[in-house]
Amino acid sequence: MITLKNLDFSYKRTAVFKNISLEFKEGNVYGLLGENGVGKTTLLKLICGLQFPNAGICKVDEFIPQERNPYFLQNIFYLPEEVITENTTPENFINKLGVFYPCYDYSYFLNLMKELEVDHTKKFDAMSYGQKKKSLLACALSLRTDYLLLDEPTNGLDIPSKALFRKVILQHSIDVNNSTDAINRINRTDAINRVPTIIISTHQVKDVENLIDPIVILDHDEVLLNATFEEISSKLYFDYGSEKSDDALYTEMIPGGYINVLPNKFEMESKVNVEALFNAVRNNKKKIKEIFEN
Amino acid sequence: MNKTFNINRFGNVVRRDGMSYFSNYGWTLVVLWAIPVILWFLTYISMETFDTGVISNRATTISTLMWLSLMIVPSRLYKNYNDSRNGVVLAMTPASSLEKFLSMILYCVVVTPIIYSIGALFIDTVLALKPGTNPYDGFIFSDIFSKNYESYREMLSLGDEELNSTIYDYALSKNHFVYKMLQILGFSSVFMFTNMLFKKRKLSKTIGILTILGIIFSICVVRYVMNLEYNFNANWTDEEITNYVKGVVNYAYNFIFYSSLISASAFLYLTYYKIKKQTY
Repeated sequence: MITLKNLDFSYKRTAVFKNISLEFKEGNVYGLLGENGVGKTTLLKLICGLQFPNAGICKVDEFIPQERNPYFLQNIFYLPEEVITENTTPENFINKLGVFYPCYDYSYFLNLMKELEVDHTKKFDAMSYGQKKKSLLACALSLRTDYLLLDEPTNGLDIPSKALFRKVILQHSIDVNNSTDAINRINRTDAINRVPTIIISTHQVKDVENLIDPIVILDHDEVLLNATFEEISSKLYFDYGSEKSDDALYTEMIPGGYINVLPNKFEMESKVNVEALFNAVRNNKKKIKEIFEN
Repeated sequence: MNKTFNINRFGNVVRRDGMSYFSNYGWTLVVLWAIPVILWFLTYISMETFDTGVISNRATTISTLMWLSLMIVPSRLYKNYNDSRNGVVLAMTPASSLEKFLSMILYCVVVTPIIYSIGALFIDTVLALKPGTNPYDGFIFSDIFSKNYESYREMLSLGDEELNSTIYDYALSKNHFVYKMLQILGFSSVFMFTNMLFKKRKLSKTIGILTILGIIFSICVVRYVMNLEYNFNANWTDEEITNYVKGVVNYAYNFIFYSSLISASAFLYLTYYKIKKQTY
């Protein structure tokens, strides 16, 4: 589990987080949403120890990320938004990196590269931006770490690649322990039964809408929302109708009518629209907090 | 479970750094090895005019290039360590800061001077073996192992042959291996640290700073030498002169020893600290 408690962080004099507290429970695919500059990337960097908090606690299991303990590092991988520009092939890249990770699975890497339709022997320099991103995603998944942090993973991917991305992430989050190769190489007994925790930071909510659950919406000095889809749909009602509702927390025109986000007073079922949810939360910070605290 | 040092993990870091050694530094090595060949060729075409193929000149050239290889290697092998984008993979590699640091020392301080020196001496030997007209006569190897150190003798020349010989023997009685290793460590540590400190133009900034410090140091040395001449008494006996010059040599050696030791300790610690605390 990832625990952030009363965390403060600033870049020199620019405060990013003030006293935020948040938990990421094991085995979920979290969607980390927030406006530009709210600190999504910074939060991921704090979790993996690339940045150090000014105050408060940041813990991943029993580890403090900023200590950069090797046993912590072999359980976590962070894939940044900007692609790595090493002039080598994905195969060489992962072979150099994989030896450090006890659950690294080479055959899984090859399968992923095949599934993502990228040549593992082609140099990164000769690849398009999207191909580089897909290659690095395959590398990241094949390390089979307990925690995987993805920063804007769908940026630069074309439409079929986005579908492939969703497919491999979904498969990975379900059958991470099914690889015989991984089990044979494991020297940590606890790793076999652990389902990975994936945190996806993104602006492209539509790309990951059916993938992420729970959703975390971040603001500078507070966490606006940290809830599962089940909790969201029990508290909020997403009305897809032809009319605008006066009681709506947020209304948006869509082809054929409107989408209204309303408090779910009558416990009706509805499909969560993440974009509308995000805007509803952003425009009604206080009210949303009240709804979810009750 | 040792989180600070594990031999297998360290081996993996060394292996990883080694795998990218020649791809990152190979061409630099080739250029540095090519310089003695170019110099041989220039000597060859001008040998009727100048007598430039003596062993001391060749040894000095290779030694200078070896120091140059030490200056360049951190910024070629570990240039991304403090880069906010490409440094992420290095920082997140599951190994301790100590293991990463020791691997850096291994490649910057041990592997590079050995590889460069062996390669350059091999090239020099091959050039000296050329049959027919050849400006190179003799082998640097033989000079090193005979402990004749022509270049060293020239450097210490004090004019008086007898005094020269006494001081030369005295200087050679020092443990040169220890001094040389300390100098290499002290020198490399400066470039390892500045590689971690500066994000861009790492080498030129370091050379700029060292040039300024060098000028200040030279002024101090000139003042010191002027002071020596002032202290020098024309009525001294030979023994007194010898003892006086021995004292100066001792002083120089102590200076090299302690300055290298302090530089190595300080900059290696700072490099380790930067590896440990670098944020991205």
